[in-house]
Amino acid sequence: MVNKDMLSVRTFSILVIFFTIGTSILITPAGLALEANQDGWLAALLGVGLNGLMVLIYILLGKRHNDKTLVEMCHAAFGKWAGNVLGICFVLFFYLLAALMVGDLGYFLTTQNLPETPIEVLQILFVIIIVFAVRAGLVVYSRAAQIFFPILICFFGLLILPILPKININNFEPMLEYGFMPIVKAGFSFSGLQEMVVLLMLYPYVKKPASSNGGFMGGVLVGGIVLIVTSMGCIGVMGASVTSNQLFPAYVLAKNISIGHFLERIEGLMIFIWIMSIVMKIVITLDASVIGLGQLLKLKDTKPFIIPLGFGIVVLALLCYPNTIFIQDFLSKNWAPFASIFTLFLPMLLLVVLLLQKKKVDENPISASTEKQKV
Amino acid sequence: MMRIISFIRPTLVTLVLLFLALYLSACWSRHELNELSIVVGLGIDKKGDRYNVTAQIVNPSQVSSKQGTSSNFSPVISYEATGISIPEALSRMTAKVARQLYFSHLRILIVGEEVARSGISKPLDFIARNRQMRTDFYLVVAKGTSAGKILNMYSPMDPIPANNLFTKLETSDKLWAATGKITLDKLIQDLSRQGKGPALTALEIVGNPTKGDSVSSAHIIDPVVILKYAGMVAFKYDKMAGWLNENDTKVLNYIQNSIVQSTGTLSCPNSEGTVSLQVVHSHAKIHVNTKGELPEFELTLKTEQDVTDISCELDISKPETLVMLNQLADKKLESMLENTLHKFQKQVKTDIFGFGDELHRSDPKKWHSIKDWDQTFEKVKINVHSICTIKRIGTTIQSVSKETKK
Repeated sequence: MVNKDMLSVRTFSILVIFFTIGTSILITPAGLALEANQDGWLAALLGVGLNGLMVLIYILLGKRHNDKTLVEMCHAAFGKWAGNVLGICFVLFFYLLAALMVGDLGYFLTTQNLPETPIEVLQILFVIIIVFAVRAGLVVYSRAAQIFFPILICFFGLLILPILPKININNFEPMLEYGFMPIVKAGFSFSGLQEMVVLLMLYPYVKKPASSNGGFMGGVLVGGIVLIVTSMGCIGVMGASVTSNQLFPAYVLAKNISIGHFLERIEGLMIFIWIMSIVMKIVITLDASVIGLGQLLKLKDTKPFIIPLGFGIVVLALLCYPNTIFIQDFLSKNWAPFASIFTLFLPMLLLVVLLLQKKKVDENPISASTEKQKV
Repeated sequence: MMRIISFIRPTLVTLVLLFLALYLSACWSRHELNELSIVVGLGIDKKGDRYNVTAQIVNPSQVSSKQGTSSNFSPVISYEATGISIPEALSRMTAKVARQLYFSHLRILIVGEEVARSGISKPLDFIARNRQMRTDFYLVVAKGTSAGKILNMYSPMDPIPANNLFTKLETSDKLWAATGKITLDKLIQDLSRQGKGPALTALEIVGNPTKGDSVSSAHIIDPVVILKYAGMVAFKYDKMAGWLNENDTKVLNYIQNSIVQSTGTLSCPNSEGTVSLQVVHSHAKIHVNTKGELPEFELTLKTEQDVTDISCELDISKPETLVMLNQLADKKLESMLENTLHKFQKQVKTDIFGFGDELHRSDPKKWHSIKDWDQTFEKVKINVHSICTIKRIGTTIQSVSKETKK
């Protein structure tokens, strides 16, 4: 790896926060309320806990090989051929993820705000921005994230504080009506929507003082708190049944804001939060798949690939997203198990193999150094 | 060669910038204000098996501040259209309305009595699904008339009748507690609950409706016709089950803790006349006892009241009088609560107060063992307690009638 751009730990945490909030903030309350009813917020709590556990695995991986991206780790663990296959799987997963998010973006805007604008136009407009950001590079878009972060937090506060008095505690009762199973199920699908594994592609570019692991974990927790608070707000204000029947519950929650009939109709802020975070998440995911592709094909410069890949996303998004219900059904039934292959099982496998290998390598230091040169 | 290249680059940049400027205007799905018809009131009636939809639309030039010129045209116009579904009727309406209908500023949705009796969930789906509809308008039921007729009535004071209805409902809900402001979210929430039926405010026309549909009636000081809120409508599932009178509505609001202020009167114990009390604080609590086969409910209503008027020769300066008034107020409230609860348990047979919900919250197991809550609700025992405290008596001590020398 030549010319590593370095990120500070704090910048990385902010990227993690954006990554956690993106997509999830607008849609998760519905899934949570559908599975776990009034206990949806407990499920969110559990989901954030599960995310924390996954991040623990990633941190362990990152600690062992702090100069390698996920794809390089695959090479290190499984050798050239198997490593390449795994690496391709990861890169394709990231690419698909980016496409699904572009689809989400398009469908939200055409459903709620711009019904007469063709979805392709909106998606292409956003992809232009995303391609621009990815071409500019990690340092540039992470700085943009740093600038957006205070705005994001302010808007979130502006959204949550006015609805606090409208929360009806009765909507959370009775607790644990149907036992723990629905909460576990909902928590699992909740954590499936935050594919933190993507961030392992950026992890090597983070400066690593002693506190860097805390940075990853801290970001996940802060983002998680935002999501938990949003789900609590939705269920508390609108009740579990109304929340679960909405496509975009957090947007409807924002419609409920009214302070003395002069501060109202500010659901636009909600759109801003969501678009800011989802664009950042798509940028990170696309960048991760571009970096991965570069490492798989041993490219010196990945820039020429970014524009075609970016526009491929639009096509893939249109292919994957035939209508609103299809994706709703697909995401709620299949996404969490599918994603967990990449977010949980493969990283675990990697970790185990790398741990076993580490012992071997320690015994035989010469092969370790040749291994490094190869990569 | 170099000169040509150095020339290409700025040209390209300029072209790209010009191209981007097209996007900046952001006019793809623009809707200018003068191309929109702002719908402020919507009425849904039945016409056979079809829906008759009435939309009240603002005539912007007549509502603006130039009052002098505005007497020729009506400030609002209402259009009617019939269709198998609500969106079909609204689309058909475009043949009559000059501009595109815009619903984001809807203030009030009126459901005709017939629609309420045949079920409100069907027509409501369009309202819940449409992206332009917000959740801050109120839903009411037209009592003894059609929603369309109500939307044709002119309102004094406020040039926009729908706005007038909106603020009227807000004020009366705050000060009198015999109405209920129900938004779409709240209604759907209640509809989806087993242990609590929905209730909507009723709206009726008082006076001569044939004269109320003209702006010229605004020239008369005593309004020919007035739209008045009259209690509420109780629903069983999504169908109307019965009317709530003034007292019933108050009871409902007491139990739901949605009382900001209300006024009640007591007749004086020893002499002729009344004492008026204003409720300034109220808190109701339902305690569920699930030991027996049927659940039992303890309803405790704590109120703080102020004396606002004494029209008899009551000696208010003695502490015993206040104690006595306290007891009288307790008795009055208890009998009011009992009457209403009895009516809804035995006659209307629907639980709009949320006793079932309370049971669900406090003892989910017991709740799931009950198969049909509506049948059970008829039989359960509800004990009522009122704890009232009178704290203030206004700015004077003895009543004017007591001070009057005979």
